[in-house]
Amino acid sequence: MGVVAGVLGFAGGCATVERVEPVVPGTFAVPANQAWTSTGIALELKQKLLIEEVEHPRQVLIKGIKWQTVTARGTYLFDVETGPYPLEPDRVHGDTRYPGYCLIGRIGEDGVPFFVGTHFQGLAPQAGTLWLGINDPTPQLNRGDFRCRISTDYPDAPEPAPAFTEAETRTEALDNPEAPKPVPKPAKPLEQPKPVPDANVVIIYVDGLRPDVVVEMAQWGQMPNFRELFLDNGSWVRNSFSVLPSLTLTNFSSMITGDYSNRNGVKMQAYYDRKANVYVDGLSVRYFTRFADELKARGVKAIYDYFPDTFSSTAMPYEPLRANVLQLNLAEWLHRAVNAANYASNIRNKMDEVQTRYALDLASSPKVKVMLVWLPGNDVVSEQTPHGQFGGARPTIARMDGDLGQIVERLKIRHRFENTYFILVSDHGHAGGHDIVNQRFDVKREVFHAYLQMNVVGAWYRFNYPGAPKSRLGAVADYDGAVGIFIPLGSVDSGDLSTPNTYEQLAHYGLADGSQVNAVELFAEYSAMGRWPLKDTSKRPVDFAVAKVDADTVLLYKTMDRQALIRARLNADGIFEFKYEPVRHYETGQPVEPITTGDPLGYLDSEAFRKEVRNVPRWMAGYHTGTEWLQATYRTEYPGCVNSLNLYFRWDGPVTKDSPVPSQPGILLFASKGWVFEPKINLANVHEDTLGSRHGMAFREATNNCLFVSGPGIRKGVIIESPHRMVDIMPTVLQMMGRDPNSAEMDGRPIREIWEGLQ
Amino acid sequence: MNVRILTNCSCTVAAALLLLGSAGCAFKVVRPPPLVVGSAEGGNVRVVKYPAYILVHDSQSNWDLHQIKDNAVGLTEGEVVHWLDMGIDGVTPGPPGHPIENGIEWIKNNYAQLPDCAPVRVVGGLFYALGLEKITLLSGATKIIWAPTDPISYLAVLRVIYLTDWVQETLGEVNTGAGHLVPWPGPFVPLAVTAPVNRGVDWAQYGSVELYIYVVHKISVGLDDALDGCESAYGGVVWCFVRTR
Ligand SMILES: [Zn+2]
Repeated sequence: MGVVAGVLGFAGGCATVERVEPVVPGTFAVPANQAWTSTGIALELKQKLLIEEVEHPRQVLIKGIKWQTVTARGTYLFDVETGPYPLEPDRVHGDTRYPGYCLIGRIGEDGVPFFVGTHFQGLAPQAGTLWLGINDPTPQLNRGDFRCRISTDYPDAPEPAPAFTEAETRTEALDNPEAPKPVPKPAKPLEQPKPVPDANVVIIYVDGLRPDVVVEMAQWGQMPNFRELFLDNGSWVRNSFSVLPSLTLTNFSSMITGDYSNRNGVKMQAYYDRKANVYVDGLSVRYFTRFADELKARGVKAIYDYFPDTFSSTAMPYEPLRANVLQLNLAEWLHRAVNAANYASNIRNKMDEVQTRYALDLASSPKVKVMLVWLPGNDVVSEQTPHGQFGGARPTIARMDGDLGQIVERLKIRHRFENTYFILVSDHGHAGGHDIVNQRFDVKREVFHAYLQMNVVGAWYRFNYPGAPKSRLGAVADYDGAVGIFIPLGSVDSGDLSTPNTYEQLAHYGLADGSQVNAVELFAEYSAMGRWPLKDTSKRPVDFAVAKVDADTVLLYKTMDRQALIRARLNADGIFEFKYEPVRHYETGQPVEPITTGDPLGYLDSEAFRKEVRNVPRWMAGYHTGTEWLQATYRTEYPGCVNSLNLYFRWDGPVTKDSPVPSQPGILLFASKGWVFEPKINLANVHEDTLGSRHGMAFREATNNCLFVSGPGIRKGVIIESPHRMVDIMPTVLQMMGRDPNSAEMDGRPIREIWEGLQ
Repeated sequence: MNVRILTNCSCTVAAALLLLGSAGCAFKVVRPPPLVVGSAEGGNVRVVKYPAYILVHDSQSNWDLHQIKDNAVGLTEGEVVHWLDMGIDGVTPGPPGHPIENGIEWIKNNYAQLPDCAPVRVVGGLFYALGLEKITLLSGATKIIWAPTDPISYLAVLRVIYLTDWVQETLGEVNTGAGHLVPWPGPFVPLAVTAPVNRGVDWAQYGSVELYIYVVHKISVGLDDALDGCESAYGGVVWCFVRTR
């Protein structure tokens, strides 16, 4: 074997270890059939180290099987092991961050293994000899070797130029009294994007995909199709954020309507229907048309209404019972689904495969111009593996790249690729898995039962409080990182769930024994064991609660001392403006007590916020639009929460005589980092899932969503810094299809910065 | 529950358990730990005790009634092509390659390379409408499960709708083609005449597909409701069994 010819047999202390000599000067062959091989290169502590796989490497055959091939990057696509991998010995099988069978390194025989893959550049973590190996617990039957070049020097990267943000120059002019007044530019009409005629738009909606994760995997060579289409030949809108709460149905609704929930009415993915007195779980099959029916009844237009003859999709989180493009309807989807999954109950385990198979039918039809492909697999697996997208979800993400490749290839074969715009979007981020494994907080037991002594109906089951009268009922959607709380008007036994309580009513909420409590305080600050310690709010499950004060105002409640009012008003142009007013001890009718530090969203103490707005007191004194607030806060831990939280408690939708008013919870609870609202014991199902990463929360990890765009006239290989959000996608799609994005009067604005020549 | 009723029901219980047990139905008894409530001031502890719960539904088990229902229904969607592919993949080493399905896709892709003219569109449309590759192995069973009282299979209904769509489009092609023979601009039969007819037919076609999906969904949800009822009844049966011990 030519490969081994370059390797000098060298029996060291361990019989299985051979020392590698360069096959050609500077190039090493690392045999794949042994765990570790010494390179003989001695490194000093913090010495520079560069390891690069050669170009066009030969494939290594894992266990000698010809369809199990890898190079130094390893793979997520197959896994024939049962035990832990050497690179991550503490992780349970099926929950690893790094690909199996990749090239790994260590310094010294007892060194901690590190990931090398196709490229490693860094400083030696300790002094000693460099060893290279394969991330395979049982390498003996492998065939072939990894080839790499090793160097102990590399040129230092130049200092990165400070990122330019539009905000800095803009706020300097707008908000700093000392700044020179901007010279008014001669008014000329804004140049508009010029999409190709007869365009197609393909929206790849990967549920819950984290942008940092997909980019990391692409850099490791695991996402070739994604990399080519979006990173090399498209634009990444890096600061894109979901609307709040960062749940699937609320964000899917904003994605397909271009509106916030005050205008589309989708407040929660599960809620208590205050009119009909039933609990509606929008994620159950039973209700899969419900939200679409509600949109229609409210007079809200969605993507399928904007393109009645040319829109078609795979199964979506919810959808109307309509045959969009004849012959490509739900019945055909079911047929494809059963055959792609082998049997019907396997469909939910194979959703990405099923959806992709059907997407190929859509991509083959010239009638389909606007196409939406929902790939939910990532979200499902993330929620059921402890480390989520930093663990067990990665094989699903790697397979998604193959799905993307198939769809692109079909469009190329059918000569449709050249005039197709691609948007890869996720509806929200995912919290947990990287440094924290989430834990559960059972709001039914810990608050409803412990303090209100109330029966509760939720997403899983009705959980009765022993001895409580049957009619004493509250409701909560207890999964994910945000929950809506529904409790009867005024007191636990009023039996009236027809309208939400105001903060005034919640702050003096009646218990069964006639005493009163502050219900918001209970939900925000208590477990069954009493109040969480005030000093360290990072260890408690609830980040903050939100409740409605009056028609235009909501209260954010973190603790008694850390609160904020968000007030809304319409400006002269009919656009909402918001004021964020940090206070303590808020009480209806009492004068407010302002605070200057420790506000619930942390803006007052945020360097990033101060940098954007320059003059904090001046900024806080005024009203600003949602776009301005997003610009001011997009680099903080809570991007763009101000308008989103206020609008959540409003209903300004297109109202007809019969138009139903959305069921609104009285209190909205957001989870802290590391916590998820979910019962510890599942009383609905024999099977219990492992708790993984989740979403719904207000902080950045849960709200930063993927937004990658590619197509004719779209900038290639750029990262766009200016912030955007979910509502901007629909107007951008209208623009790509040659429609006037402003004619629909959506909340969102088309994204300009993605177009060549329009920066 | 008094002793007499218990004795009366034990035969039924045994029979029901035997029946459901042989179908693979499992149950789990869950006893939530008591809830200890500490007051805000640190004293005064209250303990809430919960009854035991009996769980029957198992979303992961293939023997769960809901899964059995889904699979029985899904069986009628299984394509001949798919079963053949499964057979071939079963005896070929390596990951599944779906050779027949991919072959058909290859033919379709190549057909799509033909110049875009009326005859190509008409023939392609006919094959799509017929959907020969989607023929199922058990379409007879479809009738029985979906519509025991209805002699026409819903799958056949869909094909009829598609064929009317094809006829409509073919007439459109002929009309456009014949338009070259007449002295006036545009198609042979002017749009003013054909448009309302087409709209009417489209409306009927969309309506039929929508109705079909609606009915399928309602039946499926109805079955689920019935099974929920079965499960809670089974839970009740198990409950009296557990309590007697
Ligand atoms: Zn989602």
